[in-house]
Amino acid sequence: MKAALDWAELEGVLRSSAEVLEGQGQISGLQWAHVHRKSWLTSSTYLANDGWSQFVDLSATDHFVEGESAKAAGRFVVQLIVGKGAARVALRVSLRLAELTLPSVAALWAGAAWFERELFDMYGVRFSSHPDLRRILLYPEFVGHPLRKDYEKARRQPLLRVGPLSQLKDGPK
Amino acid sequence: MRSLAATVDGVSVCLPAPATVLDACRAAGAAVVALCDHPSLRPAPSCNTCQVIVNGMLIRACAEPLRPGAAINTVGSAAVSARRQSLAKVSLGHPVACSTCHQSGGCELQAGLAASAPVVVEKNTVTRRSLATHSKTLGPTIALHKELCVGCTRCTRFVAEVLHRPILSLHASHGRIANLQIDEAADFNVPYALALTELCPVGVFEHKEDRTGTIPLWSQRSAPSVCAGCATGCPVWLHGNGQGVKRVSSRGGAHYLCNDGYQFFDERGLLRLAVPFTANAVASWDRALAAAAALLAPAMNAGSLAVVFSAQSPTLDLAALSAFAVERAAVAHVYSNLHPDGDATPPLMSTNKNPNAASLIALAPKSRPITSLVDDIGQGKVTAVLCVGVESVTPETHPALFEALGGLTALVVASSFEDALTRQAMVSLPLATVEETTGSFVNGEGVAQSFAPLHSPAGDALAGWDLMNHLSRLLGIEIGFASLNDARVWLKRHHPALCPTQGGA
Amino acid sequence: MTKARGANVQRNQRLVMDLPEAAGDSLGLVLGPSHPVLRGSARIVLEVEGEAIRAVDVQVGLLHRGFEKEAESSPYDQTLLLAERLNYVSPLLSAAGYALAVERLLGIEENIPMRARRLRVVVCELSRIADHLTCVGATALSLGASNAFFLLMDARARLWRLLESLAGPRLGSPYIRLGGVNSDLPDDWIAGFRTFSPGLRQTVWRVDQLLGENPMFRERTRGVAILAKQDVQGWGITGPVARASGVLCDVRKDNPYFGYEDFEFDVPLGDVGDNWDRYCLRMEELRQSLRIAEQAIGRLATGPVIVDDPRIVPPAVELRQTQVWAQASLFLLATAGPIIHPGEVYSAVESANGELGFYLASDGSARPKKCRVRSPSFANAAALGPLLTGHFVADVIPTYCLFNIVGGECDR
Repeated sequence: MKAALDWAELEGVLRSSAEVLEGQGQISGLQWAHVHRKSWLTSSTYLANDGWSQFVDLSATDHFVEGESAKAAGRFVVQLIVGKGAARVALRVSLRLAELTLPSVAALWAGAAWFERELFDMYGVRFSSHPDLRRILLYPEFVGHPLRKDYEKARRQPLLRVGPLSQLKDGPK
Repeated sequence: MRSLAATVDGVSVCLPAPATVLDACRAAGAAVVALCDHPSLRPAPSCNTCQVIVNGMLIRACAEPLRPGAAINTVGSAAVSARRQSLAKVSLGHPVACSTCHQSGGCELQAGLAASAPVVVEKNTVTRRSLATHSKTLGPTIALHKELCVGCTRCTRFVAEVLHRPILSLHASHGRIANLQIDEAADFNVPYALALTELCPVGVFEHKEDRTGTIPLWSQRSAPSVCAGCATGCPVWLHGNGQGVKRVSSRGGAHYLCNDGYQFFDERGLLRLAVPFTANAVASWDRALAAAAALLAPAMNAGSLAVVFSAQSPTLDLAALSAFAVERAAVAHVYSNLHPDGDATPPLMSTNKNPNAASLIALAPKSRPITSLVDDIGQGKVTAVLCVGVESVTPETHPALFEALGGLTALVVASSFEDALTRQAMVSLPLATVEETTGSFVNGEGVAQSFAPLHSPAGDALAGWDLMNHLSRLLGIEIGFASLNDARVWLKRHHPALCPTQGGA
Repeated sequence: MTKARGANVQRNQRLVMDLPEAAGDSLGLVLGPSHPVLRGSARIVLEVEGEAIRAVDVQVGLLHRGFEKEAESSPYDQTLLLAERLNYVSPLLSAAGYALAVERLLGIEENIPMRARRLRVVVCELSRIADHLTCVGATALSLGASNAFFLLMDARARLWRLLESLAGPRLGSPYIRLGGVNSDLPDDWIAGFRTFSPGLRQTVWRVDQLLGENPMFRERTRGVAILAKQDVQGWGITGPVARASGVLCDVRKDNPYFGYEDFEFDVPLGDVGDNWDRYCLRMEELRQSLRIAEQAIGRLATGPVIVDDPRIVPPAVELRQTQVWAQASLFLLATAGPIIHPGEVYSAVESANGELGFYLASDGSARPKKCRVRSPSFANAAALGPLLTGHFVADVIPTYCLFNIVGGECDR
């Protein structure tokens, strides 16, 4: 029997800190729970304590649609996928583009640190109390956050200057 | 306004009244085509390709009014097979020619067949695999492909109901295949004839200038825009692949455009100004702006600078120019160029050929016609002129003006196209066009409508507000138009009536 | 971060670890992306004292090609070509993982013909074998055991010749298609496989003797880079590295796909989680993968090799010439790609390095709203840095090689 998320228990945990479960559902491959930004740490801690110890993925979707107003709700959704045995559960949270910040869950799942760096790199999401928030897939001088929908795929980057050899260890400044 | 809530295959939709079941299906994204239905026409209903199930009954969605709380089912087997049968009937006798047909990719029959596939037609007698190579032409712009006709009657109803010129009719021939009859005496150069190319679901009427057939669908993109041909400002969709506008179609509104609207974004035989020029030599932006500032600064300080606004410019460009000239630099000599009135045919086309006259009047209230420049230059009151976005001013149309401009020591022109005015200028700066920037126009009825870019500006062209921000900074004035957001904020603060309510500026 | 006493070298600002008080000089060392024995594309920045590593910063991303961005503006079938290039050592497996995700998004996983599923199992397991052969071979070469390397590469060459005759080009193969596979087995393929498989077993046995009985190899790998069992899941590590540490996780058993539940195979587990266990585990997985492939070939069902669904597969040629709907479907598939109704899916397969997951979100158009690749190499690479701290520089080589961080999969 595959493990399943106990909705009632999660809702109870959130209620005890005056928070709510904003939505839930099931898609092929996982159950998902949508929480408010305030509840991100509470819910993550609950999952970690409830035995969802397998860290799987941390990603984000930019839901912007051309022609929509910039204030469209639910524009930016971060999704954390964790597992217990064969089951997978996703914790989702909506962020506004003007405020792309979240507390880091690297203390709960060590693997989250690199995935949070990738979210910072690709979308510009800043994680508070992250041990080392810097770009991971792109080089440090890269300008912009490419996976955002307002980053045009063909955008050019500024050329870099090549420094003296002493910078070989650290890379170009 | 009353709104109607309904569900389509379990998906909730909410539409303003009055609406049809088909509107609800489209809002929910259901794959239902309606070949004989068109928003500009009353429902026929004749093709039966839009059948869905409501309250257990199979109905034609295009003609059925939407009642609140309706539960619409498009995926029930009765509906699916009814639509499949209607599509089979409609495609009987249709050439099997998708791979070479010009309408492929934008063909509603094709989309319907693919969504309902397989749509088997027994004993399809027509297996012709390519369209007739010598198609008849209607008027100068339309090629006719009668063999594609599926008998939907959109065109015959359109010419009768909207144009009130019954030049098309449909006759049954041999009892089965539709035969489109054209009144041979009709003049297909009528002002809305090109709307037939958008209306026909299968491409019987082909716009000869439509070049979308050369682009694979996966690299096509569309941008919501506004036609800048006249003060009506019909909302349009621009279609292309990042290298120019290949096709224009209507976007709501009347659901069709006038002939000029379909051709507005075509290359007009004018060369595009894509890089800055100083003294007829290509220059970098830095050098060109520095040269422009050097030319304009003495006149600005002496109070003999003239600025020309254009009613063809988007609101943000006019706003930046107004912030510089009217608000900050207090330029005394402000002029405006409006295109003269032209032909108009109702219901869409307006005699006023200026897309943004309302914004111009609001942002440069004390401007005088550009022809007043002649005297002012002659009397020595004006020694330097800055024109932004001025179009259609030529030595043939404004001979005295060109003579006067010829005597100037400082003429700076920002324009999208190379014309006599830019050739006359000491510094010419490239402007991005409507299909290359975000912006808005306020139309003749005072409605502000925004447009989005289809592709990035050609060459080194910049948006007018961006250009003005750089230029005024070099002239020692900070107007605060550093980004699109800053520009929108300025407009909202100073002229909220000119701001579009939906989307950007 | 404390300053090292007497340090005469620039302290690399990017090193993460909180360093204990350093005694003596430390040296900054970069095992750069170009390295004689580090196959792959990571830039490993070390701070060493003598031979001991004080701090590590594993810098990945040198092979980042923007897969996810590209997928958002490409039709689903074009992205299949890109998905192959994720783990380019076992490309058919990556492509099969992506194809499965799209099929689950469409809801047609059950409609894929059984023969297609069996063939997919065959190519996936053969791809896994190719990946393990490459991994162990490269490790052997990196440690100086070139004899073992050549034996393994010989087996790999024979395997790829076999796969080539089935799938065509080695990279850029059209074999995995949305809805099934491209073509059926060539007539003599099974005979070729039956010649190949005992040869592979023989090679594995010989290499086990050359490496497994070799005291130098054991010394370099036993007790080195022990990944504790309790740390594995928190780090998000899956696949051979996780199993070597004793964590039982295998997507083929947990969430079976392609009919894996019909086959008998064992999932080997290690005890200690050192490099030696990772080596042994991969060798055992080679045997198990071969076992699965043999069963799949023995149980190939009859029937078509691709699903009959005009939404993703063009109709047959005769239909296309006589029916308008068929040519319409073909045209739209060819120029726009499959159009998928709005929905989301998270689909995972067991790639050679662990759980390769795809999160797809569609919006009803021909392009996905989001195509996320959950990369096992990326998650595994995250643990490499902390794991290596305190070890010797020489330990970086076998650890990095046996972690098998494939640049294409890690960086996407």
